[in-house]
Amino acid sequence: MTSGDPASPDVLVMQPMARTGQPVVKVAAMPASAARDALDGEAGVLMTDDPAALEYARTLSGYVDVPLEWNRTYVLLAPGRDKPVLGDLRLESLREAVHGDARPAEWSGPGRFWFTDLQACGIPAERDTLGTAGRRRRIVYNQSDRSTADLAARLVGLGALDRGAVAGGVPATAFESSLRAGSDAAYVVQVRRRVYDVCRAALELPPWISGATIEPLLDIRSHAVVRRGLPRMTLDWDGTLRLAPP
Amino acid sequence: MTFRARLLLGFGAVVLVPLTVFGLRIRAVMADRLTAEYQQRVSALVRVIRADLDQRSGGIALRLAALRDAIAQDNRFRSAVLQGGERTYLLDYAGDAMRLAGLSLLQIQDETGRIVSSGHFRNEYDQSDPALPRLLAAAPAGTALVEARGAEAPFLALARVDSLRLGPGGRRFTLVGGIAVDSTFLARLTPDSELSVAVRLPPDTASGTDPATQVVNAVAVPFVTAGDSARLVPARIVVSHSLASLVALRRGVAVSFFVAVLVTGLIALLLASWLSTRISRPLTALAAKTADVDMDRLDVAFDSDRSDEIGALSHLLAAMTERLRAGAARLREAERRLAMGDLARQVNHDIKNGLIPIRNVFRHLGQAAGESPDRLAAAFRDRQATVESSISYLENLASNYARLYPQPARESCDVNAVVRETISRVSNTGQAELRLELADGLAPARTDALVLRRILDNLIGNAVDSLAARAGRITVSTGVNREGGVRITVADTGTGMTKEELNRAFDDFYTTKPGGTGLGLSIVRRLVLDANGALRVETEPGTGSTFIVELPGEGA
Repeated sequence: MTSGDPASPDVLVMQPMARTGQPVVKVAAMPASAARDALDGEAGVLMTDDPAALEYARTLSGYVDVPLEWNRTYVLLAPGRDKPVLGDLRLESLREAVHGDARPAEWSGPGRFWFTDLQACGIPAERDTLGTAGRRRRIVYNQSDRSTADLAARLVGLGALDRGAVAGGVPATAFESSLRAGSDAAYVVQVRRRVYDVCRAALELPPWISGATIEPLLDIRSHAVVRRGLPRMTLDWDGTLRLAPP
Repeated sequence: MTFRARLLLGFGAVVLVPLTVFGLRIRAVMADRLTAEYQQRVSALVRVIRADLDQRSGGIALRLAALRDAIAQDNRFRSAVLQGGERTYLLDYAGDAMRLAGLSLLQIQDETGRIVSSGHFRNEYDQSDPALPRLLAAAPAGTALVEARGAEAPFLALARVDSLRLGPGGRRFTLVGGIAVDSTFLARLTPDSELSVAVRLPPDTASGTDPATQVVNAVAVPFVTAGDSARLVPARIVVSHSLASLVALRRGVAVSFFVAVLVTGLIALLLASWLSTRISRPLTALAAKTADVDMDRLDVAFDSDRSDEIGALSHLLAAMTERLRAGAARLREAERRLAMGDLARQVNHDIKNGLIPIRNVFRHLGQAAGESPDRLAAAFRDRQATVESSISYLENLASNYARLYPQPARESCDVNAVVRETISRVSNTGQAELRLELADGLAPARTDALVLRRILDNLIGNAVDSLAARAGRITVSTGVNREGGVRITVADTGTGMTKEELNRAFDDFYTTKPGGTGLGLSIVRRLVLDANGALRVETEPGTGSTFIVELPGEGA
C-alpha cells in the first residue's frame, strides 16, 4: 500500500493461529517512490495511484493491474453561493491535471452526489456573514494530497475566481481548521464517493456546507497490482479490497 | 557693558567662531567626499549588474538552445505534440526539462501561442499567451523581465525566447525560458549591507527612493507586462546606497564637535575670566578709591608698585589727589581767612551794636550829672534796663563766639545715649512730632559727647524752625555707616532748601530765619569736621531736609 506520506513505514503483521496452515500477512504503508521496490521485492498486492509504479507493473509478467472502484471524488467547496466560482470554465481538462487514474466526476446512481443534498440531515443553511470581500482569493488545498494540489493549480491556470487568484497549500492540520473557518475563497477537498450513512458522513464536511457552492471535479481510483497465483480477492461496495478465504 | 563682559564676549568669539567654521567645513567636506565615494560604488555596482545581466542572459540562451536540440531529438515529445500521444509526458516535459536545465521558468508554446507544456506552472497548459514570446523577441538583446504566472503566486523572471520547428509542415514551437529574479537573485548582486538592489516595475519605477537618505542609480531593463494587454515597458533595477552610515558619522562628528566646542568654550571662558579679572581688578580698585575721593576726604592712597598702564594711572590719580589735597587746604585757609575777616567785621559790628546803647546811656548819665545831679539816680534807673540789655546782648554774643572754637575731646561716646539725652532737653517743639529710630547695639563713636550734643542741638533746632510752627515730623535715627562708623540722621518734613540756600547754608552768619545768628549750621559743620566726621544734606524745597552726620567709630 503506497501513500503520499514518505514518513509512514508502518507495518501491520497478521499472524494466523497455530496449526491452521494460514499464511502470515503483512500490511505495509510506504511512500509512492518505494512502490517499484515493493514489486521487485515480490509483494503480493500493491495498492497505489502512482502512474510510474503502475507503468512499471505492466512491464512485469508476474503481476496483474486491477483498477479498483472509483471511490474518491475531488470537489471544489466555496463558502457562499452569491458568485459563480468556476463559471464557464472547461473542466474536461482537469483529468490531465492530476497524475493518478481520474475521470470527470460523475454520479452513476440515482439522484445527485450525496454531499449536494444534505437537507434531510437537518443541517441548517448558515448565512454567509463573511462575504466574498472578506475572504482571501485563494484556492486552498491539503499539502499532503498531490492531486488536490494539481487540481487547485489547474483551476488557477484556468482562471477560476477571476484572474489573479492563487493556489495555497497548507499542512493537513491547518487545512482542517481553515476549512472549518471558511476564510478562503475556495477549497479543493477529497470526499468519499459513496457513503452508507449520508448524515454521518456529512459531519466530516465543514459547518458551512449547506450554504456553500459545491463543484464536483474528478473521480479518482486506485489500482491493485496483484501477484499472479494469489488467492481470490473481492471488492466491497465502497471499493474496499478483501482477501477471500481459500 | 562692563569691560570684563566685553573681554569675555570677545574671547568667546575669537575662540568659538573659528572653531565652529572649522567644524562645519569639516562636516561638509566629509559629507561631500563620502557621498562621492558612495556614488562611485553605486555606479560600479550598476556596471557589474549590467555585465551580470548580460552574462545570465547568455546563459539562458545557451540552455534554451540545448533544450531546443533535446526536444528536436525527443521522439515521445514529437509524438505527443504532432500526433496527440502521451499527453501526460507532454504536460510533465517542461517541468522536467526546466529542472534539468537549471531554469526557473520554461514554457513551450505552439505556433498559435497555446501553452503545450509549462515547467514553472504545469497546469497552465492549453492557455494562450502568444504575446510573451513576441515581446521577448522584440526586447533589446532579446532579454526582458516578465511576470510569470505560478500556481501559488506570480514571480518575476529574466527571460529569453527560442524556437524550433517540428514535423513535416515545420510547425513552430517557441521556448520561453528564464531565471527567477527573486530576493536570492538580488542578494547575490549586493556585495554588502549598505548597498541594496531592488526591482522597480512600472508604474512605480520612480518611487521608493529618497535622495536625502540614499545614493541611487539604476539599470533600465525591458519588462513584459502581464495580462491581456501585454506590452514592453521599461523597468529599473535600482541600486541604492544608504546614507545611514554617513548620517551616523555626521551625528558622531557633530557630537564630538559639540563636546569640543563646549570644552574649548569652557576653557576660553575660564581663561578670559581669569584674564579679565587680572585686568579689571586693579581698575575696579582704582575706581572704588576714586569714588571715595571727596573734598572732605582727600586722604585716599593710590599707591602702586606696578610699572604698567594701571600703575601709571595710579600715580596720576595719586598726584591728582595730592593736588586736590593741597588745593583743599588752600581753599580752607582762604575760607578761614575770609571767615575770620567776616567774623572780625561781624564782631566789630555786633560789639558796636552792643556798645552804642551803653555809650548813649553813659552820655545821658553824664549829661544828667552835669546838668542836674539830683536826677542822676532817676536817670540811671530809667536807663538801667537799656544798659543791662546791652550787657546781656554782649554776654550772649560772647557766649556765641566762644562756641565757635570749642576744644573737643576724642573719647568713646555712646551716641544713642547722647541722642536720648539731647531729645529729653528739647522742650518746645511746637506742633512737630519728634521720633527716634535708634539702632540696637550701636558701637560707640570716637568723639566728644559735648560736641555731639551741640551738633544735635543745632540740627534739631533747625529742624523745628524749618517747620515754621506747622505740624510736621522730625526723625532722629542712628546707624552704622559703610566704613563702620556711626551715622546720625536728622530728617524733617519742613520747608526744605533751594539750591542757592543749600550752597550758602554752611556759611557763617547766613540765615533765613528772623532773629537767627546764621552760625548754627556753620558751627555744626566745623564741629563735625573737627571730629573727623562728614556732613551731608539732602533737601527738597517743600518736602524737607535730611542732615546726615557720619562720625568715625571707636576703632578708627
